Amino acid sequence: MSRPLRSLLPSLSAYLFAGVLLPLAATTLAAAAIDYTEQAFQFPASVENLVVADTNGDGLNDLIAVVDDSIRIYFQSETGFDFEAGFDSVQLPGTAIGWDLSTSYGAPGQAALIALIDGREVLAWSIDKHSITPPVSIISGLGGYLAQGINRLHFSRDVNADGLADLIVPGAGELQLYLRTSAGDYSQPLHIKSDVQLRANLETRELERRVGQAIAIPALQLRDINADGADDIVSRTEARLDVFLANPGAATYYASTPSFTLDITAIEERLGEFDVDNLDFSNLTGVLALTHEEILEDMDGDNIADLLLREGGKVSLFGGSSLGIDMSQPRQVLRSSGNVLSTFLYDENEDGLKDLWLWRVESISVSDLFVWLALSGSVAIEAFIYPNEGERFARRPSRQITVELKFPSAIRMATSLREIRNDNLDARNRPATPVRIADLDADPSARDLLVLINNEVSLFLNSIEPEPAQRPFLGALGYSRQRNNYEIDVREVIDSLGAESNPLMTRVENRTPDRRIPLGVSVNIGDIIPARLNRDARDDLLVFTDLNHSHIEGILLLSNDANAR
Amino acid sequence: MSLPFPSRAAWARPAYLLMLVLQLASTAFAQGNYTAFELKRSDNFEPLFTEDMNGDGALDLVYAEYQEGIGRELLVYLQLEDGSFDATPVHVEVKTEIIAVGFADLRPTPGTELLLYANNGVYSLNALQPGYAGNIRQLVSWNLIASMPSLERVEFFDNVRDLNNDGLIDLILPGIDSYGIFFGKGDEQFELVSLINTSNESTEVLARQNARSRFSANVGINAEEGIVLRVTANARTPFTDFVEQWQEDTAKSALLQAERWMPGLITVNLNGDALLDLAYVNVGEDGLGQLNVHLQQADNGFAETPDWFCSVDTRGALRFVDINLDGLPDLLRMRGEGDESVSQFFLNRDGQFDLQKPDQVMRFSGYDVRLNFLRLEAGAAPVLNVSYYTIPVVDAIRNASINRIQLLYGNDQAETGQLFNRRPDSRLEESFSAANVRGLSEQMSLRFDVDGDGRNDALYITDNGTLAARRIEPDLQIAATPFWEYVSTRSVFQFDVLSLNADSMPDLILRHGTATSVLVGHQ
Repeated sequence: MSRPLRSLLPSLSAYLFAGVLLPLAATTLAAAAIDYTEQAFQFPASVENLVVADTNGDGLNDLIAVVDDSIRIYFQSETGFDFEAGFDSVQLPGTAIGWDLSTSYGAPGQAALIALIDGREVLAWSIDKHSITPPVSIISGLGGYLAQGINRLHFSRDVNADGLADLIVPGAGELQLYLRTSAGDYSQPLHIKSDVQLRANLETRELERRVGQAIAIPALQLRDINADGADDIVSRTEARLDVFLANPGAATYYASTPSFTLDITAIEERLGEFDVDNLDFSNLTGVLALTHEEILEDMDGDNIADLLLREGGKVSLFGGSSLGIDMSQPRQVLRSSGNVLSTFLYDENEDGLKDLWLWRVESISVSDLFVWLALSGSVAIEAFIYPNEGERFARRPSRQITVELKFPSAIRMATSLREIRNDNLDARNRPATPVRIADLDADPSARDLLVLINNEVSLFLNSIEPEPAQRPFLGALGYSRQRNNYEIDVREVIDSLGAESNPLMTRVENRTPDRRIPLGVSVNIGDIIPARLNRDARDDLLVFTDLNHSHIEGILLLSNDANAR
Repeated sequence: MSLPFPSRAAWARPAYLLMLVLQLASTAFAQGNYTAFELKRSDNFEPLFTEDMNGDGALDLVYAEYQEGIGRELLVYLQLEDGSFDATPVHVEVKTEIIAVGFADLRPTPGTELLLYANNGVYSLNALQPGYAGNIRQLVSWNLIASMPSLERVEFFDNVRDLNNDGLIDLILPGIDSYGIFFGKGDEQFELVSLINTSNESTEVLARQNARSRFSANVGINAEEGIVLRVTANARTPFTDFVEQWQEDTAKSALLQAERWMPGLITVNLNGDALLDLAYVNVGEDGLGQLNVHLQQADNGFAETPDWFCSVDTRGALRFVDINLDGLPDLLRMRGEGDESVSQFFLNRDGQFDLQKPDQVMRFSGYDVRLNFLRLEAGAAPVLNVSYYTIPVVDAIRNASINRIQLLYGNDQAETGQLFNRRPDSRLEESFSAANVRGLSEQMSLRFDVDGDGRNDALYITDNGTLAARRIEPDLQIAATPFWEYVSTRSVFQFDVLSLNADSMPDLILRHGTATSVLVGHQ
């Protein structure tokens, strides 16, 4: 052995020991320490989801499922679940029901089941050990609306942070907020406009079309707008932006009318109506002059939200105070030529203040569109950065960034997307390999990977680095302060998608699982869902193995952590 | 008016001058024989209905509007005797509870009533009688599949038919689990005669089993990520998002996300017995699409289970259409991949179809392929009109354009057992580029007789955004130049030819960018 090589040996050994063998040994030990109690489970096929919650305050999470027109709670005991008989059910009255859980209506530490019945009455069922008690009416005479059937409705929430759960009842185009008082009753409802998304089709002339209705109601948006430590209500609809400022300590926590309103309809009327007759075919992107944006964000560092209003290429800054936004006079008005696409605030120069990013797109003509049907093309998108000077933005941008968006012809793009879609459709006929991230061991520094394959669960411990708390800004472009020109190639994005396998699986390619758990049954339609069910701080696993006309079947793996007992 | 620009020598030719005079004369005829009414709405592309609301035999205009502070309203513009419309519309409040509105003549008073659909029943209302008090009447109690009304938008529900040919309007109402078929008994009375469940349990489980992938594309700019271009194809299993770990008072993205859908029921007279039948497609036990037919039985309504069903390939579009124009609906299946399209025709044989054996298969190369089966005049043989677009890639560098193709197939040389000739009798190819893009706003239509001479014309939007018509010659060739043109002050983007009054003159509805022109023709 040569001298230099001999001299390297100690450090090589140290490296092997510290860098490879120690982690390997630790992982092997961790894998050995992971132990599960297995329980087969079976749910009726009509169950569409499970809610995990400790309903009776025993520190063990139970499973709640909607079965046809009833809600069933599978109670967990010290020995696990009894899926055949260890449950209680409640038949729900009405035809349109929304249900939730709340700790405000049962014994301390227990979660009661609450339901909004036909939009009119709220009933609560508290839990006594492993039984559901008869319902109590909480409030009635409401004017709400709900979807037909039994729906998960997140309508119980402590909005004013007084420790009492309030009720948010969906209405037609609005939310009705009922604040609970210390006496146990409710205040008069506060009516808040809501951007309720409805999609309905009641008749069809085409054989394949379905009839029905889809409803999506956004949650109540709570934000401390004026930096007084209390959450305010922000409501944004197509017609208006309303802010209800909280009045902590006052008799009326939220006034019945908004503290301030931005009339979006008036903005749109000012900008004018889209008229194809007046469309400039040589600059189709000129229609961006009709667009607007409203950003409620602190720009001057006092933690109170200011309002940045963009109308076409005109950007107005309105200062915020503890009383709201002073809409009478903008603090600053900036005007940009060209086709302004968007604006946002981000600290570009790292001075702790958010700068104004104003994005423009070059003119696109009808002729361009015709060419791009058959030939590839590109569009330049430019960002102009106006530095924050404290109270205002600089009048001129300090930096310009250009992003060249390159794309294939429309025909080629449509073909590629169609091929990907067809591949996805074909994939329906192939069994998918479920891959999930979980926290299986006591090591919080890295997460673990689960793979359900060959009728067994494979555990890859500490194989997933924790996600960074914040995604890198313009990360997809490889942004840096030193570079001003970037490029996005849509063709590459699409091609990479076509070639991409499951990205999580690539993390453990060529790696032997740290542990294999044979299931002892054939997996027909399977998945692994991690959930916290017992008292330890480790994920338990719901391993689904089949879904057929009558049942959902699987195996529950309850973690056994001796330290948690 | 659009005329070909002549060379200098052409001005001196008498034939050209004659043609010019004739075309100017026909244009003047077109302009002068309509009473025009311009309708300006907040959203010009929302539905516009034509109904005889006051029973005078002339159709009135009805549409929905929303105004902050007022709410939802129906606006009714009554047609006047001279073909114009009353400039002051009748306003009908649409109460919050109402989800959808339809039209039916139910009361002995002249005119059509409104049908108001709430989540718990259907009501009638005379639109021209002010207010709801003493006016609204409940027709049926029924839990509609849609439960939540929109604050701003009115759905229209036009599925109102006389199913059993007794002269009374019947109702087909989608409910929570099934359709309810109600036969009208007169005096605004209805009787529930059949319940038809178009779903089956297999459908639901199979749909969940198949929910294994989600394809999405997302383009945007935001402060967190800057420019976002994300195309994803996520593998999903039926258990994705199956488990929710409850945590009190955590912010959720949605208060409620719910949907309820079922296969749609359509009415169609399959066996020609004057009683309308019902059909729908769902998923059969074999996991494939299944066409189900409920034939109406005299006196008994419809059976709970289908009288006839068969497996169907649900890829592409399947629709009932009278292909051979014998008065019975046939089945047309169209399937396309990119610019390759296959059309299969299945003839109705005693109310049934052999979907394994199409009566004719036709292939086309182009985008947005549409088929129309027409009789160009009374008593004439059926004609197949096929329209589509092509994009000539080779010419793109020199002159980027889109070609619009019209094919007409007769049946005089159809092979035995085939319905239409193998090759088109005529082909019209028009090229559109940036210079004449306005002409692309709508396909040429051969469905209308614009001059009322009993023979259909080829109606289209010109390069200048006007509406023009060309003759379709007996040999199925479409004339090169228009014989008729309507020049409006605004560009036309959509058109419809219909009858708005009792005379035989065709009337027109022209949709512009921000307004609609209603043209009532007169002799």
